[in-house]
Amino acid sequence: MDASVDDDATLMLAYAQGDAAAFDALYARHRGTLYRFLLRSARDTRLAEELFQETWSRVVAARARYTPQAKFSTWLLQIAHNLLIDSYRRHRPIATGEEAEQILERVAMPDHEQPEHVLSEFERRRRLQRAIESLPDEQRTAVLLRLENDLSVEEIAEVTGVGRETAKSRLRYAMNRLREQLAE
Amino acid sequence: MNTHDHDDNALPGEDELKALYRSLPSHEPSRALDETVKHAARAAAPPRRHVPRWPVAAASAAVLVVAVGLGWRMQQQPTPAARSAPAQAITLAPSTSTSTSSVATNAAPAMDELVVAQTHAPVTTPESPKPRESLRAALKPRVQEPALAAKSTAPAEVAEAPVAQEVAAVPQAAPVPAPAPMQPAPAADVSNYAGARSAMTMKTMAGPAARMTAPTDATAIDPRDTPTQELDKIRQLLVQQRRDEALQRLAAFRQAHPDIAVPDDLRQQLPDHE
Repeated sequence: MDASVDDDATLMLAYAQGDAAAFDALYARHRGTLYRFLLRSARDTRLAEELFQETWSRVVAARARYTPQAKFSTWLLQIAHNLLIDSYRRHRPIATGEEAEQILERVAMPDHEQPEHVLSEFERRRRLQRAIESLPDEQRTAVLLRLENDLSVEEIAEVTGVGRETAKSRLRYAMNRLREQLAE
Repeated sequence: MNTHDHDDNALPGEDELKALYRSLPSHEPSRALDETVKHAARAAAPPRRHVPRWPVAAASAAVLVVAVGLGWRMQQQPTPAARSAPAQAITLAPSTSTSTSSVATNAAPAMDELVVAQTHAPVTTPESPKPRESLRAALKPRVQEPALAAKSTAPAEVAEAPVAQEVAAVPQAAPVPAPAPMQPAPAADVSNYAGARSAMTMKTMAGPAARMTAPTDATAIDPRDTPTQELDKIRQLLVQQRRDEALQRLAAFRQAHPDIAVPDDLRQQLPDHE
């Protein structure tokens, strides 16, 4: 565990002792990456927000029994992943490719970029988003945990509850498919 | 959070994909969502307790008093050899001390006889002032130890312990027998894995007689089990075609351990919700 991981655990333990400011600090560190992981996995803003809120609710509820045995971020993503799996069962299919694309494209482009550059960048982003969207759930989860959350293969395996080789295989397949679709 | 090893970094084309991914819009939760989460966290946080110091001081003083008292009492107790001597002591000085109270009140005139009586039977002269002073001096360093010990342990005793930790601590402290076979319990009971564990603990603590007669069941809930062991038991239940029980245990497990991902083979057994 590196220093920031220790910090996370310290903050969580402080929160368990009643330090609300510690939770705020912990939340600030992980809110963005967790939200993006859920949004790109669930492909539905409302569902992503619901799962985001529920994940943090579970963190809050688990504060008394929390012990820093694993990285906080891994534990957090495990909870989120469990919730995602449950939601897959409930709501499959979540959104069509076009709907998902529309959701993910509702983004303001940086103003300083030139039109040609914006167009090509937009196209590349669009392709990547579509490629991620088209991945099977397990592969999409693996690649998002890697690209968004920067997890190692071992950590991906831990979050998704599979063996290291399975996680690595999923990640490799996902990467290959993304590269193929970007190259088309 | 970059913890990749060399093997991980060997994934082809990853750097390019990462760079492109990072150029994607950086979605953030809305401010309203932030506030909702933070508010819930604040509401759930236990109030910070500032433990007052006076109970620690009072406990230390109480321990000091008890220690002095005990030490004094022990000092006054007769040795095994002396226990057989009281009768002899009384007969040695019958004319000078008719009772212990008279000895105490008339200590000076009867001191010679009293000294004789003390050597044979110290228990007959507990009120003697001189031994008490010397005893106090002798006990002084001894009573400091419990007082210090009390100081060091008192904060831990008064510190608030989470309920879940207490529940978890009980089964480790109590010896657990071969558990009784699982009865198909009502869904409401079994859905709460923690509840089932604590109920199991209560049973084992309350029924030593039942302990002797309970048949062994390798798949029964054991509060000492690690999550992995519990998952293995759920697998065994599935192998034994006890699917309903396995699903109940799995549901209870997920509820009790939301942070532990259920392995694929077991997750696939979960029925679709709704």
